[in-house]
Amino acid sequence: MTRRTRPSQWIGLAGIGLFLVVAFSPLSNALFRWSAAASDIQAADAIVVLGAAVDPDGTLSCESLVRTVSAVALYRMGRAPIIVFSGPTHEDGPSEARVRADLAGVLGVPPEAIRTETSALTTREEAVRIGGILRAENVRRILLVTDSQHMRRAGALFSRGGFQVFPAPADVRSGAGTSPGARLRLLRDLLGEWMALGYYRVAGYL
Amino acid sequence: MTEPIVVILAGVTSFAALWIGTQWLRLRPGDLAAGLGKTLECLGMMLVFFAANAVVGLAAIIGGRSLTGVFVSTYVMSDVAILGISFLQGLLFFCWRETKAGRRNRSLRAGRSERRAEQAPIREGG
Repeated sequence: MTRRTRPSQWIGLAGIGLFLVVAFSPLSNALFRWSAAASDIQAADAIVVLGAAVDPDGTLSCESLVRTVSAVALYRMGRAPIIVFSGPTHEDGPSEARVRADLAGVLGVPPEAIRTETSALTTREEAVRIGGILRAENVRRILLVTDSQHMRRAGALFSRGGFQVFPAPADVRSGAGTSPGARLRLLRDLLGEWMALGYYRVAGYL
Repeated sequence: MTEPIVVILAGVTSFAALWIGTQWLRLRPGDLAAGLGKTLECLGMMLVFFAANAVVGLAAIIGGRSLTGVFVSTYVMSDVAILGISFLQGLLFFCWRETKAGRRNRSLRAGRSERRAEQAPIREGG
């Protein structure tokens, strides 16, 4: 380093330090486990599956697929008589909720047990719109299916809407990432969710 | 299993670069510290651009939603392309600044040579 260290050099040094710690230590795995919502699967009135993403050609993202399959498994175990799939339409493609409903049908869930919500774009909108669908059917106890980090924010919104929420986390990542890349991705996802949680608190949504 | 491979790979290529640098390009090992300083400075600028892109992007998305009603997901900001773009911005800015510093050093050296050239006949005459 030069005799007088510039601020950008300190930032660079901090960046390298953070990179090495995150990539080559179990820090992000520990943070993931610390902030993950615990599963509490109980008999409920409905299974609510929050949106993730779908490509314009109708291909579900990993997150969306895992949540859908988890919800179908819960339904087939007899945990609730209704599944609500959320997920908006992507440009000219099909809605995520519709693609998930079709998949659930293929996996043996009867059409009369499926509801879809295709207009909500954010977690807050999902809580409001799905809440409306559920209240119309006198649903009070819900099994909420989303990833374990998103669960804290989503669960709080549904609880605020008057529902008794039982978390049923469905993750594509685990707190046992074994490669540097997996741990870096884990921290990126954690930071994203923590920022969203902070924003929802500041905005007064929670 | 991945970590040892990554560490060994980085070690082998770094050692090869050190050998090529000292043996073929005649670089001085003592200049590595200065090189590290420049690397940190460049990386620091990349991170500053990354932070600036994240803050401006989130503000634009959230502000745009409330002002225009057009929805853009904040998850856009987690795209790895933003990291790559930020790094390119930081690298370009760093090189731009280095070009200016290089030009200033060259003109300083040229000025010193001119002064020496001017003083030489005076000394000879004296």
